[in-house]
Amino acid sequence: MKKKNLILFITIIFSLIIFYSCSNDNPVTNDDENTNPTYSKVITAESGNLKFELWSASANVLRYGYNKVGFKFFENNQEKTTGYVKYLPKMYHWVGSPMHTTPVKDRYDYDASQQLFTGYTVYLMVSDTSSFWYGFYNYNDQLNVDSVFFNVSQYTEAQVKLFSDYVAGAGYFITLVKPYTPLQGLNTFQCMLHRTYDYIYFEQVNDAQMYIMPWMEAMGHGSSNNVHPVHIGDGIYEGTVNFNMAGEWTVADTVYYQNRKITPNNPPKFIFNP
Amino acid sequence: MKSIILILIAVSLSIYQTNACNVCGGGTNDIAVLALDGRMLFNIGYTFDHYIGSWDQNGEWSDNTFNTNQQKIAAAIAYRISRHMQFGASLPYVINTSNNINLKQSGSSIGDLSISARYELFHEFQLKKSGSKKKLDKAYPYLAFTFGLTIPTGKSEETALNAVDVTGKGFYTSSLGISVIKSVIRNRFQLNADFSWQHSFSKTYETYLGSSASFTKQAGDKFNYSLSANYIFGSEHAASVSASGFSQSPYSLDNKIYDNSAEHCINFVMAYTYYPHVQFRVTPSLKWTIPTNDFGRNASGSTTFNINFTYYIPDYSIK
Repeated sequence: MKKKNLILFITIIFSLIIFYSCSNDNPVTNDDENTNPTYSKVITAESGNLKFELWSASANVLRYGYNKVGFKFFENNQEKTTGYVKYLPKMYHWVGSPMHTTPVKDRYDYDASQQLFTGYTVYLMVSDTSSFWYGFYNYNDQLNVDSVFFNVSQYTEAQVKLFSDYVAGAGYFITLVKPYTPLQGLNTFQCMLHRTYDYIYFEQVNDAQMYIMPWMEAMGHGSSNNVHPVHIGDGIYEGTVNFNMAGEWTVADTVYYQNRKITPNNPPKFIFNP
Repeated sequence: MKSIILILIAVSLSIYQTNACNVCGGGTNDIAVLALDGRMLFNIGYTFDHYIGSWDQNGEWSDNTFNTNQQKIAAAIAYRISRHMQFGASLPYVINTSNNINLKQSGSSIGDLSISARYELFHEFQLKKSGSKKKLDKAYPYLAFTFGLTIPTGKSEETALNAVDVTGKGFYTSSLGISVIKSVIRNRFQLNADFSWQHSFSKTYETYLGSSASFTKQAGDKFNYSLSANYIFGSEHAASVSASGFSQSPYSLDNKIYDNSAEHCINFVMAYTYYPHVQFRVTPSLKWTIPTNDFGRNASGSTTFNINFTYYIPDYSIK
């Protein structure tokens, strides 16, 4: 091997190796969206000497999908820090059309650390020119402020999926709690499940079994290390989804209740763009 | 010099081993190709593939958040049975790594076995009869029909528990192709074109990356292409540049075709070959993609360093 040839060969090899030495070492971590501990007041509902305040930790407005909320209640300007609050939002459309409600927590108990009666609401529809929300507030099943108009804003990151269980004659809603801004890699996945027979009363379902399947439809592949959601309390199911590549992912959620699959063969799918 | 030219032909074909977007299964896997005077060939190749991002269904590029790399050590062999026919086989050992701290960070196993065959209709610069004399033909190019079969011997998405453990496709593929080489300046400058059509067979999954599953998937048919220019500096050095890529039709899942899943990608390869000996060559190469919008669709982009050590056994009696 001639010396100059050897030098040329080695130079090329090292140039290529150096080219490969440039790399990125910044793994991502998930954020804490929708679990922000800071609440802001979004609604004040007053009647006579009674006042309810609705606070949200999700946004400075009420919005479509999951909202982490809290209430303050005042009687004669005296704030109550015991007891409980009940809240029922009702949506009316045009004259003669049926009213419906939306999934909310059955009862909001006082959380001293937040100085609020805390819980959640899930708004299934946004306000528009023919759809109007009214709030009905109650303290300790005794004191009411009714029919207080409010607006619900669109929020494109929020997702609520409806499916029907034809065997039981029930409608189900799966509500995404997180992630709203998914990242590449592992993400905490949280959702809620509610059942209704009449769209007036929504029951929080805590004992279903969920099986998720993330899939990148355009690429035709899924991912590993996903964890099926399990109920962790307060109506929230938590698992893990792995978005191992940028682009659009679907997360199909197959639900079993009392050992019977209640989702259709084409299960509801959440869409994410990490 | 004739041997060098013939070897260069083989090199220009073997450059295809830096597959187009090989994370998506591109390329023809024609690793082992013999020149006309070669009876048998042995090749050991090392590939370092660094995935840098992907194009989505709209052709928009996104960088990878994590470092994902794939290394391959591949052994290949080729054997010529006549002046028209040769066979080859290649088996890689695949090592995947990722720096995602929340997941398993490395996995390795044998990859998919590739078997290839090549029917060579014409060779360049062959003697032909002209009346009572023989003279050198300068018109015919090198022309070969290529055949390939990939056998899923690697660990697939069905058998692997983690994505980093996946070292094979999990399904059979077959390919039919054509390879053309034409010398523009004899012994100095050549142009090479390879085209192939690849068919994937359907695969039913009962598990998928550690989770139970029940679906049948079939990848779309794929058209692979590669255009190369080779320049011979002398008896010891040669270089080539290539543009290669693929276009793949949408896949089907349980017989439902996903219309937005068609794939395509283009990449570029630069290779240099050094010949310490007529029968032995070393070929480092670099493949790169252009990480910007519209240079791919539903495909991964990677930068690849590859080096091959090739030794062939000549047989000048091949007629």
